[in-house]
Amino acid sequence: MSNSSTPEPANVSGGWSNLWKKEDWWAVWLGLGIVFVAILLWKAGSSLKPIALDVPTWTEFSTVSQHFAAEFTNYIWLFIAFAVVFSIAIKALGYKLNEFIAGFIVVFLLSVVIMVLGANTWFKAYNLEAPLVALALGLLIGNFTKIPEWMNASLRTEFYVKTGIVLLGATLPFTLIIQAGPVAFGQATLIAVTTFLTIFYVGTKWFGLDRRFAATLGAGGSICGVSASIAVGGAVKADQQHVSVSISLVVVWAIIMIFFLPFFIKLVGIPSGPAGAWIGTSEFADAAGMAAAAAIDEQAIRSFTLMKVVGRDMFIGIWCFILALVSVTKWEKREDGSKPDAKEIWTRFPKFVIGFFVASAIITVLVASAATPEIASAINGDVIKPVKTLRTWAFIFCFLCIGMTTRFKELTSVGWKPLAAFSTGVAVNVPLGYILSVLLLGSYWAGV
Amino acid sequence: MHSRNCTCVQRIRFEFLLIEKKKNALIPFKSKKTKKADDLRDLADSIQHRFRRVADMMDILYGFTDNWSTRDLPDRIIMETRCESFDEYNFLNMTRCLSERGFSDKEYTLNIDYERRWGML
Repeated sequence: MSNSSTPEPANVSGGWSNLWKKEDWWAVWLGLGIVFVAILLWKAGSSLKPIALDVPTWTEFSTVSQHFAAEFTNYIWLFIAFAVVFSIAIKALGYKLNEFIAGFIVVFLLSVVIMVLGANTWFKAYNLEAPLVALALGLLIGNFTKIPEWMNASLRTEFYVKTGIVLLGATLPFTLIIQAGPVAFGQATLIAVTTFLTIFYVGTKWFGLDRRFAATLGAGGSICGVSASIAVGGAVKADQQHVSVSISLVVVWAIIMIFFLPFFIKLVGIPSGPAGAWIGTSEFADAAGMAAAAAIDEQAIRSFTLMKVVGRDMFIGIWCFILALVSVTKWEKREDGSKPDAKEIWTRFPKFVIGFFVASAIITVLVASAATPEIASAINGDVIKPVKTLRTWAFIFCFLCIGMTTRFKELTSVGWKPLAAFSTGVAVNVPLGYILSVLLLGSYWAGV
Repeated sequence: MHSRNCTCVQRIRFEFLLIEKKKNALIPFKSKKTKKADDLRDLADSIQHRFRRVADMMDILYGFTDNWSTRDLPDRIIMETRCESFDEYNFLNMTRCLSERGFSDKEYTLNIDYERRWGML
């Protein structure tokens, strides 16, 4: 890990500058920017289609070589488009642009290789979809080779997945989000509360862990992974080592689940909709969950996103506020004068979710205002489909980065007690998610 | 626990209120009936006392590290720093030290934030 990849704050944080200093907000600006460009091009009689490239399914390599011969220039333009778009944010976030561009060339080329492998019929026959290939390749590179430090600026898992999720919003009807949102919230909350209480109870009562530590572990295992661990860790003022342990456990379990869940789902033959919803409650991190869902299909991505983003991620601020309140009023005697503030709910809110909703609303209004079915079909073909393809690329960058940045020897040694407490939560969370998503609400999620 | 295995960055933020606003008045007169000149002298003393206390707390915090970003607002001072490894200073040591030197937890506000280290999911 490189310290140089974490820029020092020039000033005290907070305020309006977050709009251009935070990765979450940049995911919103870039995602919405791409959607607006797609709409403007369509209005002007053009489209993003030339750079929305997809490798065709192939058995003979000649199919691939012909594809690249025909589309080589467009691949160059695709690279330039992504490099320019991401560079704007990278520069504003304070990273070295030359290092990012050099690294992004490698990320892009590896992503092209992954797309080619993922489109092969042999790989498909063995369920080695592009997300899993990206992850496996990334893990091999990250753990068995020495990646130069200048690559770090381009290996930005969270940034790519958040931008991808905003683009995903443009492909989901707003009405669907509104309809499925309450179901997702109810189900996700039931599972999250049960899992949190399990980890907290087992951690404090059975293994004697500090309550703040157990709360941080519980948040990581139940709400939204690393994001929850760091948010709740800050809210309850957990020790840095405890937050570090919690993050390590989330990462290890998230990687295990990326491989386990799609394997089990395909083995048992769970339909895509319920499968995505189950992944949405069982995976710990957005990027990891998206990789697992993308290894199934488009419908799994949809139900996963509804469950994870709409049902879980959005409510991290409320969790933090409640836990901060409990920490100050009920737990150990505090040593500072701070009191929980309801502003915490907004501060902790994952801002990229706003972009997801706005993108969905814009496209939904655009389609609804189409005067004829032909215009609606044109919007689908010239706006939504290219955005969906660009989203797939953003996710592939993300999945590759998950592998390349997850270096197991750099994770914190966790000790058996936190491991046991967290794993007990997993043992409750995963079966409970299966019961609710597949057995009880399977028919609902199959229709999403 | 080895410091290279630290998976998060800790952001520590102290806020020191200089003068408390009461009912939108920056200078809190005790009573309208008392003589204003004496009130002002009392207030000057209490402000001076408060400023010295804040300065002493700042000195203690600078004893842990020089790596503070500070912002001066009309009614408060904000100090913020980042701790990137277990070996460095951390907020628990800071609050303990302040407490040992006679500073109550009501004399400052502490906010802790964590960020994932590069590469964490």
